[in-house]
Amino acid sequence: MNSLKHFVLTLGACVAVPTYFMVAAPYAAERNRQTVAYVMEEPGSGKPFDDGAFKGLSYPSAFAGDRKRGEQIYGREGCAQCHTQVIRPDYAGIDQFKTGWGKDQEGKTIVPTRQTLMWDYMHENFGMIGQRRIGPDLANAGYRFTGKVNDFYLYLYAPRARKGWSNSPGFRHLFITRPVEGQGSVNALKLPANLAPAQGMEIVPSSEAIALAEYVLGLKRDQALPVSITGAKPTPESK
Amino acid sequence: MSQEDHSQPLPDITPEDILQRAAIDRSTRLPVLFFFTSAAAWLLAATLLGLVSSIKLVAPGFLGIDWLNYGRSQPAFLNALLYGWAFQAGLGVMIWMMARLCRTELKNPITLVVAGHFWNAGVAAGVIGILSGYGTAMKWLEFPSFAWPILLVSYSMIVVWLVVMFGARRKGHVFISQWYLLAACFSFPWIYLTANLFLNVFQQSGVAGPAIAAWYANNVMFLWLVPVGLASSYFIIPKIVGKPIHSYQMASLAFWALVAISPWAGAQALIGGPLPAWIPTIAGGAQVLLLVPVLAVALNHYLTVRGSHKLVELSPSLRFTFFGSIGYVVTSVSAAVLCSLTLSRFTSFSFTQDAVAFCGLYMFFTMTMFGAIYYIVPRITGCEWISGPRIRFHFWWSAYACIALCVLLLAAGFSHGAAADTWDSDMENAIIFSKGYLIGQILAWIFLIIANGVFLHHLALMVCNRGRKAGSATLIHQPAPYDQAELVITTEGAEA
Repeated sequence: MNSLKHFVLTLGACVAVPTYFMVAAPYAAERNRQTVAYVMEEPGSGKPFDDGAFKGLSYPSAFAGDRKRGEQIYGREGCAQCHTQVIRPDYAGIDQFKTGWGKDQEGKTIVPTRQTLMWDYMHENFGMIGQRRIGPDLANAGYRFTGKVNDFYLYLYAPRARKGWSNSPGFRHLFITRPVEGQGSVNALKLPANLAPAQGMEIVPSSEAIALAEYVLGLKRDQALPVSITGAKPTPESK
Repeated sequence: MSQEDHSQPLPDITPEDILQRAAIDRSTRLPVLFFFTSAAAWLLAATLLGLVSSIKLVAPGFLGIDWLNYGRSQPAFLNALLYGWAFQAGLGVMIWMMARLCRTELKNPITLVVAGHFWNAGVAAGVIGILSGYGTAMKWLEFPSFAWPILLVSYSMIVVWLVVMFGARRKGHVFISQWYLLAACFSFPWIYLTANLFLNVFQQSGVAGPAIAAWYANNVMFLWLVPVGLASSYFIIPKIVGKPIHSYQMASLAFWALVAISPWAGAQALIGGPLPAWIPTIAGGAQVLLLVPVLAVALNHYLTVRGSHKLVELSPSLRFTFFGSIGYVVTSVSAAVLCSLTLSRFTSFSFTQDAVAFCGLYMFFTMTMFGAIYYIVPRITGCEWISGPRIRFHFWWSAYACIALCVLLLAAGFSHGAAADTWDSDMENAIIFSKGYLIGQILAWIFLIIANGVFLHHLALMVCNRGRKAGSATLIHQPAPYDQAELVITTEGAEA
């Protein structure tokens, strides 16, 4: 082959075919992915199908709150460099059984955490699977901080205040130091003495930290799957 | 590709050839030196960022500045190394080699320099964008979304002239290096445009996003870095050794195997991830199949150098290139091994992937580019490298540091992944177990910074016309007297 034209055509074919299969086709599949409605009655037989608790809902449920902004901040701060959001199936890792990586935050995980599926990321601009897993997985981080948003802020501001071994960076630029007004903010950080601000000052999360908290506290990628996806009606034990 | 007989020795060099080569070298002088010097400056900047990010892994409070946090300094380092150093060094080599192999003078050096300035501006804006908090989470595409059109346009403005040169080449044999250079010209715009269109323009990619980013990163490695690196080593090795490539057929086969297989690979980085299982499976299979062209290239290089290994000791270009060829094999083998599902439970989200990326970017590509730069710069500046011992210093400190870095990152990855693979442990064990290796990494970075500082200084002196004006080529060692006769024959015979 000595002709430029033949070379370019062959090269183009070699690259274009895989580009379709490895890039365009998966993209189209995700872009066109639809939510799946829970069905109460089995089509045809009319027997009970999905769990009645999900009546009128669909999977995955839409994300509430200022999530988009939080997702952006998660991306630009490079959280995904060290935190994954993926629960791998049992043939690929132990993620489903890790303590605290699912709903159950205490003790051994009796019921395996559900592996993450394509639908769990369908509302996202770019699925935050993550590049490394230096810190814990965040697929279900919402459960870790439910009702404890101030714990999250404390981790964000001073990761080693609670866990001395952590190598997570602190994100102090997401917080504001200001004079205490009245009784002070409910979100003011309760820091150990060596990190505490000067007398009469308090450290509160900025709107960016609040958006990030909304995002992380909303991470619960373990919603029960509709039977139409799993193909099998869940038995009471495995629910 | 042509089936000419390559068993004949190289034809004799006529005085016209020598004059023509000098004219070609003069025509490429400005853009090539521009790309080499700005690449070397970016290399030093990237290694400094690499040092910062590696310190941040063990001492997150280091320097106390939030915009240097690991989440920002790590992508800033990698993108500066890739787009700042690797691409510019590669472009310099591409321009010079294409002109030489096509035997045509470069008609428009100024256009290339202008495009090079745009490229530099794009990279600088991108790196600053990442550090100041406008980056993205996409692997190897972390630059803010405004940067990619700048890079794409300036890259195309440069390579279009290389294709034009190829079209205007003096008729005759096409060298294997030219095919690799052409492949690099076309492949990067394709994969870069594809990845950016889907991720930055169309968006809403959900879980396909990370798969596309992984595909892109893998293909930058195997469809851009590898072709440019191999073009350089297929050029340098026969030149220094003084005989043609052992088997042109094998080289041609390896080329087409690489081009046909590597665009399938990439998504194996997401083994076990929430993707249809066929995607990582096919990608992993392709990555393993890539071993075929790799071993063919390695065998070809080995058989070409066989009998002349003494020259690896003496010639700076050949020594760096030879090391880079070994780096190519190591990169590909480790990338193939890490496709294993059994290992992936420990390795798929740990430092091992950094080890492979660094191995490809540094042990293979960077070292090969050093070899090419040591070969090209004396020819276009008209003076010889100032000191052999300084080149020796650069080689050993770089070689030691990049081997150490790869080994330490692999070890850190395995220990981190294995410690995290127990159901009841926090990440505490993982972080403590890998800490020692990560501290060792810092030391290796310091070595790299020193080596690259020496290199930048040496290169700057050459560019400022302060090189040795007279005498023979600078060698790493002074050859023993009984080697001298043989050496004159081997280097002069193939002398460019």
